[in-house]
Amino acid sequence: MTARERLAQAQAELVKALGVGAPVPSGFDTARVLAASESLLHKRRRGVERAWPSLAAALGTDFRARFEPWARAHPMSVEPDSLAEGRRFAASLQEEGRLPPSMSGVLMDFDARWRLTSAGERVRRRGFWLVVRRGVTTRRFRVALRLPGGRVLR
Amino acid sequence: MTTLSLQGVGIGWRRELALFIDRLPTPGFVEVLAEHLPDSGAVPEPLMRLRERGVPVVLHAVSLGLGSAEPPDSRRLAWLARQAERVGAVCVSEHLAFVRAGGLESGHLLPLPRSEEALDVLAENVLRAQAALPVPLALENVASLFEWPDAAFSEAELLAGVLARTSASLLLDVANLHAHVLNHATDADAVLACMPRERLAYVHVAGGVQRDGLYHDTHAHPVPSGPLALLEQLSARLGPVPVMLERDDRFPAPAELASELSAMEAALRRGVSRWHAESHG
Repeated sequence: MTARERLAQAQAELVKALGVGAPVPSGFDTARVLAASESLLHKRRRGVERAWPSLAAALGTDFRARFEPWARAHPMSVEPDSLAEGRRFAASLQEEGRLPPSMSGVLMDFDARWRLTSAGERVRRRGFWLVVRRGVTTRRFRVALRLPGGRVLR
Repeated sequence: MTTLSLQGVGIGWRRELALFIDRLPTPGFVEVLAEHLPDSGAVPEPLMRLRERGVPVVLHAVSLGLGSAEPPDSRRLAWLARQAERVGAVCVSEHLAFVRAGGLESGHLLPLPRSEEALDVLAENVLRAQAALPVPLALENVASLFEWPDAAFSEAELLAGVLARTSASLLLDVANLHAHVLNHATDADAVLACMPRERLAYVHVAGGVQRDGLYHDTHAHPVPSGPLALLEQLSARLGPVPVMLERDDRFPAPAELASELSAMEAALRRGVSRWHAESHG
């Protein structure tokens, strides 16, 4: 193994311990690594809270309880982006039927402006883009329209 | 290896602080986060106004991962070079850290093992980055809650090793050094002593908080006295040094921010008068 390969392996083990709770590599102070892992999770949560204030407000004290297990199960595989993370988190809430109804308009605005690639990167839409959703309880159709230049009408 | 022309007391430019910074009479310089700038389109207007006022801009990056096992990605370097040109940066700074490994992003600046092997990889990565950037590169010491086992040398020797193997300069973060002292009993004097003035680009000061026996460098709490004491000690050794405040979250009232900037100025003044008295009087 070359120096780079040895280093790659050691760094990967550490990042796994920090991000997804894999065993702390031997020789490290376990309590310290766990403290760092907690602080990374806090930083991730704080980023999403700031990028999605309406979601944080709608979930209130539930935000932390829902976000942290989700974040542990979904480590970051692309460059940290709180806007994209918040969108994925909202999608998982929606699948569980826990998305606050007040969020549907905010999500439509986001989806009219951005798309997430299969890898999870956030890419700006161009030109016209139409988002059509049907309310779960109201059964009414709602639309958001992105205009060239970036304005979104709802 | 030229000394950068930065001077005075500056501040990290953030959207939330744009108005406060706009109203500062003469910020020494501002530092902008590369990852927060839009990839295309216009540079934020308040930033352009600062440039027009002649305030130097430094570009600060967190995503290169110069301490990674992999060499820095050429697309990422090209992007950073482009951002430096867009904002007219006098210098780019990055960290002595790694941020990703094994296909996962850590979302944070992680410390490096202090081994000859890791230092060699780091130095090689730094040389590649320097070759790709249009302006000088400054490297910043990081804070951490844990260390790698079996360190072959000290934090001071890590910084000295980087200086010896590359022509980059250092961005000394005295808050990160303060964290190192509290969390790992690092010898701060040895770190300050390894810093030649001509290789010191500028200095970071930031706030943090002590929690469960560990110091967390949060950039979201007031600046404690420790980093200011280190700033005073540094300027007592080297004379005037360019220094700036980093605040990233829980932005305080303008008066509180202004008093932190004044406290930094005061620490500098005290240090510089000791420097005059001791060797240059």
